[in-house]
Amino acid sequence: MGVLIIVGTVKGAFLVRSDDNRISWTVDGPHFKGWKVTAASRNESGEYFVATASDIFGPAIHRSTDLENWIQIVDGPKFEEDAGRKLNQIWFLSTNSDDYFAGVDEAGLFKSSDNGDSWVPVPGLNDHDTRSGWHPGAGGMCAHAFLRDSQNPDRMWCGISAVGVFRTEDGGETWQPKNEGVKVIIPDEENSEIGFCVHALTQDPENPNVIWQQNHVGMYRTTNGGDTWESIQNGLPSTFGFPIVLDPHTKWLYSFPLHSDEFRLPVDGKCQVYRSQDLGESWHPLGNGLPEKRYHAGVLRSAMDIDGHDPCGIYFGTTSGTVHYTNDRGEKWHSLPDIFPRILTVKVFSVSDA
Amino acid sequence: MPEQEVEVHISSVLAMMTGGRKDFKCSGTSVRDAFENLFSQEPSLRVHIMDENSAVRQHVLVYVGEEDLRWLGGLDSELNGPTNITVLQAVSGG
Repeated sequence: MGVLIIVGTVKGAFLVRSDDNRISWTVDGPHFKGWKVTAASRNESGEYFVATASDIFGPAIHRSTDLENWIQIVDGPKFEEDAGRKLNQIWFLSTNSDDYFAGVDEAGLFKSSDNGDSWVPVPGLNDHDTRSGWHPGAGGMCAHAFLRDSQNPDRMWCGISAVGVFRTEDGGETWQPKNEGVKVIIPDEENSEIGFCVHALTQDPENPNVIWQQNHVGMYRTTNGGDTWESIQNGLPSTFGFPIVLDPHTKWLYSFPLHSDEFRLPVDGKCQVYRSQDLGESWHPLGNGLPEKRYHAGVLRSAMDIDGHDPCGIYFGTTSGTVHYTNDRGEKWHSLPDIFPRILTVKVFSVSDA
Repeated sequence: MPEQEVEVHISSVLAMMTGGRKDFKCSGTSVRDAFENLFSQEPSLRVHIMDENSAVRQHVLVYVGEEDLRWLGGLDSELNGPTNITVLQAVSGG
């Protein structure tokens, strides 16, 4: 199996392809030249979806069967006219089940049951009882993280920055905040269940109750589906960072810590991925092949992904437009020669012919 | 008011969403009418030009001939003869 990486940047998408060896790459693009490409996904039929956005012309979802010809979905996510909300960006697309979901800024969740042709708001989350206490963080107020129970599709999690993690057990009708044990960042006088700044989530597909969370104020893990969270900082150089991904084969975790929410720079000027080989109990730096000094770019929450190969490949894109990857679980890292615009999202897909 | 023939021109960036097409022949009695005609030809453009409240997006500039739509009275401005409507992005963003 080959690998396709959709690299979404502030000025378009680039398609990066390789064969199973993941050593030599081709780069094609930009697609959607001049537009932010903020999310990408594929459905079970092999159709691809990307989300675009523009500070001027707004967001949209596009669908393609061949990655060349894209059709914009006309009836995409849209807040109702009297909602008083503005849809700025689509942060994630989840299209690998019958019901598709899209998370947006300003924070909201949308659902499609017709292969993405039309989208409707999910009022159980969008109009949640705690909504009046939701406030934006530095990156806006966005529903950016989404997980679905592999054994029970009615059970889902959605992460909203500066608000927290919510869980539904009934297919999205009702949602409950699930942040106990996480340090609050914006205390809400009326509701102690919100004010938690989740940055990214990843889940054990074989045990969906086990979820890891990179938060604004630390790394956390739950073993009960979010009912309670515990801090897992051992070995991490800071509490701040954005992405976290899991290799489903080894259950090893990968993150990219940054120095504090104030500075948001790599720690000590080193480009280092941190890996945990014991479910988050301890973390260790990986840097073989990555810049060891004078490195000052960050990695955004959607800009790291993992392929399904064994040994796994891990890929991340930076705010300075470089892409770095490993094809051996992080032992040795490589860099693509291209310099892209600021990278917003990196999504990896296995493909039959690269 | 009689319907007027209007040529609508969109920016290069916006034309990324129309397969590269930048020019559209439309008709209408008002700018709103002409835009509705445009959206019937190219439905993907509606979300990029209009906001949640069916107003022109804040940073989208619309010129009717040489005049900024905002100074003409907005979308319900009547079209008094054949003209061009140009849709541009404001000099903002990055």
